[in-house]
Amino acid sequence: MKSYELHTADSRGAANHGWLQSYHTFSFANYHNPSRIHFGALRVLNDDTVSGGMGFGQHPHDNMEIISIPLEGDLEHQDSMGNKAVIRHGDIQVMSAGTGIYHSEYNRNKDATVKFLQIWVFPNKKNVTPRYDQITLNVADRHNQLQQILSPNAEDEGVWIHQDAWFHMGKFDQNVETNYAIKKAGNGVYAFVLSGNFEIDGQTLSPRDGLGIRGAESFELKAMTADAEILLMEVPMQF
Amino acid sequence: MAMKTVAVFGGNADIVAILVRLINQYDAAEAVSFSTVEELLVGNFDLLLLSSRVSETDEALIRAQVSQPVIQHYGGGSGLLRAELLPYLD
Repeated sequence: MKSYELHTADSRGAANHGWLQSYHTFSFANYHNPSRIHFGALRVLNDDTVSGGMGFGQHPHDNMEIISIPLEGDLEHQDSMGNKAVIRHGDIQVMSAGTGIYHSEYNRNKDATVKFLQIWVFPNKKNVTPRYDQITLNVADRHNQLQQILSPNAEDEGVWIHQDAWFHMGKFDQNVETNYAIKKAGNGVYAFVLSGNFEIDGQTLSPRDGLGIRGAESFELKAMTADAEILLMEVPMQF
Repeated sequence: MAMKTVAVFGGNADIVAILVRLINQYDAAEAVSFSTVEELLVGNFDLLLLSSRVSETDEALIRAQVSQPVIQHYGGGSGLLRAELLPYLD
């Protein structure tokens, strides 16, 4: 039986560090809400804005699949595996932290902000060999349709992670409708609106609202405004 | 408020050191770490935080022999630590 969990944008945890404004959908750092710990294997959904020239100094991670989706600006990444790269809108970056990595992330530009989503998914296997990847997606492929940006399969479209998860993005004209079919039985989907308004199975979502959908085999989504953009994250509910 | 002793155990020394430092900043907890499973199994603590680079064999042994709550830590730093520990602290 389908069930829904609505997290409105203004119900998220907020942290203002001056150089960093972050909104946490789920408990993170000093934001702790026992009813907002995770949605299945989706543990972190941070909506970050980083001031010009600022960023996260070198810090470690382990045992987590970490996905970064830049929305605006240039984010410079450097890690202990020797990777140094810039990601920007249209790119997606993934790190399997596994046994442990160090990395830093900085806004490459001094005169513009960086906005990006930082997403953490519990891995299906602990202590994997750390890995890094980034790809550039053709954003035209998400116009009025869902574009797969992440899967569990290295040979599939988008990046891959150590979890039975599939992410899609779509940017829709007003009144365009589409259907999303669950890839793996038992998985749930967390829908996060980036811009515009959507209706999912009759529930209205505004920018930065999130809706967790459980027990579904499929659902309908409809763009209620022009240039409405959404991120769908299908994840295991049991992991 | 009763102080809880949190044992941190993992094979990535840098991350273990960071977790120990972070836990020691809490009012309700103090951290200790152990280098080997053998030391851990005879150690005194209230909670065990398992970090990365613990083999499946060692983890099975630890979970079988440790009677205190065992918490798997994910992420390697401060992001999730608070949510992982708070349910066990007064």
